[in-house]
Amino acid sequence: MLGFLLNRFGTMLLTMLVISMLVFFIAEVVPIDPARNALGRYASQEKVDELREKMGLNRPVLVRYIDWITSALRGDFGESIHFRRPVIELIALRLGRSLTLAALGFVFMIPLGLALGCIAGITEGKLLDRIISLTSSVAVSIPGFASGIFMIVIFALWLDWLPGVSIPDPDASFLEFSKRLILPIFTLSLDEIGYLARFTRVNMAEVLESDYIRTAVLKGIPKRKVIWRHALRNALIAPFTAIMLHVNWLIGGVVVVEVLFNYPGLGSLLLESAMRNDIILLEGGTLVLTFVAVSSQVIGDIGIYFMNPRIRYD
Amino acid sequence: MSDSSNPLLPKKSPTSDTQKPGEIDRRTRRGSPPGGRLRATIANLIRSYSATIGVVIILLWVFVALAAPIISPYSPTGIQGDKLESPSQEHWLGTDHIGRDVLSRLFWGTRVVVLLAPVSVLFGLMIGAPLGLISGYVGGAVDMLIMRVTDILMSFPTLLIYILIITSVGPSPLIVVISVAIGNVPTVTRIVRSLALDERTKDYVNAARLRGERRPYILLREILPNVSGPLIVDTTIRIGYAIMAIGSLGFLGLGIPPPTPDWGGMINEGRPWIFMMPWVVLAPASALSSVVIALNLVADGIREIEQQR
Repeated sequence: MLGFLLNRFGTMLLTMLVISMLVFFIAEVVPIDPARNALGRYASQEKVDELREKMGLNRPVLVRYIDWITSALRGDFGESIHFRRPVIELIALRLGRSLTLAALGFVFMIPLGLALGCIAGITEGKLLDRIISLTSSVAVSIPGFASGIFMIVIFALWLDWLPGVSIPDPDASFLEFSKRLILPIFTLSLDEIGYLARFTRVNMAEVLESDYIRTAVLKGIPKRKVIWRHALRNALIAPFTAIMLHVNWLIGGVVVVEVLFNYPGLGSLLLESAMRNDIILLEGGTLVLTFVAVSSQVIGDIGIYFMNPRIRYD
Repeated sequence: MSDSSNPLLPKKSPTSDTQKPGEIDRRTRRGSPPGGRLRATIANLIRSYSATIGVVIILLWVFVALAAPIISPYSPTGIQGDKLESPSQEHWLGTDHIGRDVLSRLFWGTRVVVLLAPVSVLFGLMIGAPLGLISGYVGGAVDMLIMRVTDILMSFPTLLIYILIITSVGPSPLIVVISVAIGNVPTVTRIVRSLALDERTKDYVNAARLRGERRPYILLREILPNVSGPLIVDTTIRIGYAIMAIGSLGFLGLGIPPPTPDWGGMINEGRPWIFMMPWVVLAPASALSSVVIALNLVADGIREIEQQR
């Protein structure tokens, strides 16, 4: 077991190393002049040169990279070109908000998706199954921002039930606060729920046809007990794996949702930095967000390993 | 009888024709229906309701893309009306915040989607499929290396890669296509690899090897035709993903630069006015969704057919 854990962490380190090199390469090496990009076409050459000095752009690439990655490990991602504040400050402020959004989305989508999928799998072929399957297929096909738009138009414009913007207001009451979060969370999870429901459904249907289930039924165990005690446990293993692999997609979804609902999280910060060509902020933010993605995958892997004794003897 | 004149049929190896009576058929390649596989696939597709609907929708949009200059009532970039007009006789979907006709922009925007998405997927395929074939067939250290690299790349959230690339290099249709292609390569490689792994153990591959065929021949002419079925299903779905990705990029402001009409970009531009004139964003959002839904329906249909073969 220790070997497994070491292996996983080793992979994670290697992944982060390669990814950091990629991020640095694309952000600072590929463009002809990152400083010029950041300041725009009309900035004076002196300002650009000043920024070049500050960014250390005249040093060899390897030196720059090592400098960047070692400071990053200490938590120093440099200073944002646009905001003129340490990147780490800006990120820390917003990371918590993004994580809240993602965590709430998770809590919402997993039970719902799994439950719908199980129901569909159990009632396979009947009307309920068809309805669930159809809605999931549609939900998966509508891109995140499109469903967000539909939500806003339906719930905020036509029905006026919920606010269309989601800026957290520290003074707002809890009800206000949660009202603002409903739409973003629902938009974020819609895709996942559809995907999860389809996946779980297939799994559930397969499990229900397997031999040991048939044995249990033939033994005389009531159907409800068969499902609860035997089928469920096995049908849920694969979907958990699928969830963990989907963290990547979730990060992309968070960025889109944050922009759509003006939610001030890390995703919208990243986009702002992209819009302003603030390469230093973009680098740092991308690295942090990718780290979150990679570490959650590793945690998920470890969790699955413990949950499923079958793969332990690999 | 092997029909070597029909280019749509996978080529059969010469050994397949020599078979003594009573001998077990050791070929594990599926037989081809008479008339060609393409015709059979289309015939089967039409039998499924949902797939037919999907195909019809896609054909409609392709038609719109091709005929955009003819069927658009106005020019997509010129100012023809008041700002943010509601849908009316002159402007069926109203106008946007600059005064451009939404319907015409919608029609012209189809071209971007219909052109860029398949091209990106194709590029991704052109890089990923050979990698996957080599990885799956050759195995060993090469396989391990390629797998490691794809694993690492797949840990990187795709949207972030796109944002990074487009920010440093600058938005343009070419960069969008390249980014989406790069984003697709790891997954395509994995899929082709697992397909190749499946095929590698089959007898016709052994037969070809015993005949002394070189590796490129085996990969290209023996294995590739047989993995094309599932690959086509995957590619169809992937085009849907590419459309969503390009739409998302346009929505985030990282897509095709204005004033070229682009569905994602239209949503981005129209977002501040959503409460005054929702159609500026509803139209492209619905259009995008319909295309992706249609593609998924078709992919489902093809998948069912493949599984029945």
